[in-house]
Amino acid sequence: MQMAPAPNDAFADGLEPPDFALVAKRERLFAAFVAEVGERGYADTAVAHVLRRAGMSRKTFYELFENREDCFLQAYDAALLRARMLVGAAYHEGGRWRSLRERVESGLRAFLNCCAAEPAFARMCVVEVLAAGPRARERRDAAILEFARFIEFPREEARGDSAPSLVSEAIAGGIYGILYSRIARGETEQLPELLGELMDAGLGQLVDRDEEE
Amino acid sequence: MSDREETGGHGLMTPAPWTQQPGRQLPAGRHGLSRDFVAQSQRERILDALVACVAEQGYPETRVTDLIARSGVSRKTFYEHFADKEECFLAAYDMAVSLLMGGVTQAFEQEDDWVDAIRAALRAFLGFLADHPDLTRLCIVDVHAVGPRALARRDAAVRGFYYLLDAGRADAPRALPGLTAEAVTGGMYEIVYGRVLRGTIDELPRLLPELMYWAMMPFLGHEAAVAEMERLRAEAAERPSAAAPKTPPTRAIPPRRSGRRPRSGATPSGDDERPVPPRRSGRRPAAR
Repeated sequence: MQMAPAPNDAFADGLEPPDFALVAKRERLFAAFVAEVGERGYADTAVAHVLRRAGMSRKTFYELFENREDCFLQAYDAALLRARMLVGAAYHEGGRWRSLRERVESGLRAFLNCCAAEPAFARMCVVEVLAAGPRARERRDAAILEFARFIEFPREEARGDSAPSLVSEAIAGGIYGILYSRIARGETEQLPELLGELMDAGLGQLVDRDEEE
Repeated sequence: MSDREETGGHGLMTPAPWTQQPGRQLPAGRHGLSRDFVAQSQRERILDALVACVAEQGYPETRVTDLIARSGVSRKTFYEHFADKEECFLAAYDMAVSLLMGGVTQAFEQEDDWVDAIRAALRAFLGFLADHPDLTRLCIVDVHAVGPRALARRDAAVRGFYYLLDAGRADAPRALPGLTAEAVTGGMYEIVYGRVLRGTIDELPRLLPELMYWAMMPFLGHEAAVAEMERLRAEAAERPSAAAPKTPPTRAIPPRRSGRRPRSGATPSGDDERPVPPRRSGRRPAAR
């Protein structure tokens, strides 16, 4: 009987169980890559920098990644997967015992905490992704749409068809823009403090029906 | 060296709005036109060429040689006007933004009430974008590929919208966070950006009702925003020839490839392809 594949593209279509030694190497290279990108910017980060920092061989790097861009994209996907799981878990925790506003706020809090806990990853996923070529940009665009689709759940639950689904895309884009400017200014660790303001700048009004009265 | 080109101009491109006579070259030789007039005309032709080249091949692939060939000016003339390709891009960007903001601000200032003013401004904004798809692409997408100076210009241009929106605070039922206008503007940017990427700039004016909802909702709440949106939708339906889409509007959010099953129930007009999250039983908690 086959084990379910790990929830990661790298293993999804393979029939063999993951090689955990390789997974660990991959994580170490991601960490080194992201730290280098955080310090130098993507444009000036060479594979050699990453290898020196991780203390690993060129051979290992190319076993895992096609090239520098591939490393970027895989690190991006891995970071996004983590964020997605954290946000999803925070949103669903407690289910219908909690009001919709509370659940949305928890999801957003988890997202902001996740950025603040790993500022280098946040910088890469939010800021550097715009400078890392067309494939990276496509990933960002897809991520925004995924974020928008996620906001569709509370929008639908709170407002049904009365609020246009366009607003979900707008909220995702609005939050992205605010994160982008704060992270670009080096204020990543203060992001969790913005929770209340972000909730009151549209998202809260959308999901909290009690606010109308 | 003469500034002439062999053929009669660049017939294929959409003229940029600063061009009074698109595609026209000045006569060669002695023409009695003032130096300023000639310089202005050359500059406009170079900017036109930049807009056309960036639209066709993107900024990174556009070379000064292309701009010279397309505008029909000499290399020397090009460098009299611009230090390099980036300067030329920034000049085109500034020109486009000042035209856009000029129209938007004027529309805004002609109205007294904030909602009327935002509606007028948004209508002018969307109309400008739809009328000038090449400029829109340049200002919204290509600007990211140029470098830090262009990004700073973009940030400044985006901030120009904040004060229009922030005027809505006076009407808001409660205090709003400082970043509200920034969030609303960022959302608008993303919507426009998405339409540019999907090649549907021309549908932007039809999104006026939904975008008015988004602009108003954080300030005045859901109910007021819905009332405005419904009113605008009804208005658009009454003028089918002018405003009605020839093709149904594209989905607000494109579905995943794996595709969730669409719900079969009725959906409001004008937005009939919306993706719908799967509904769980019990829409809302019975009590809070």
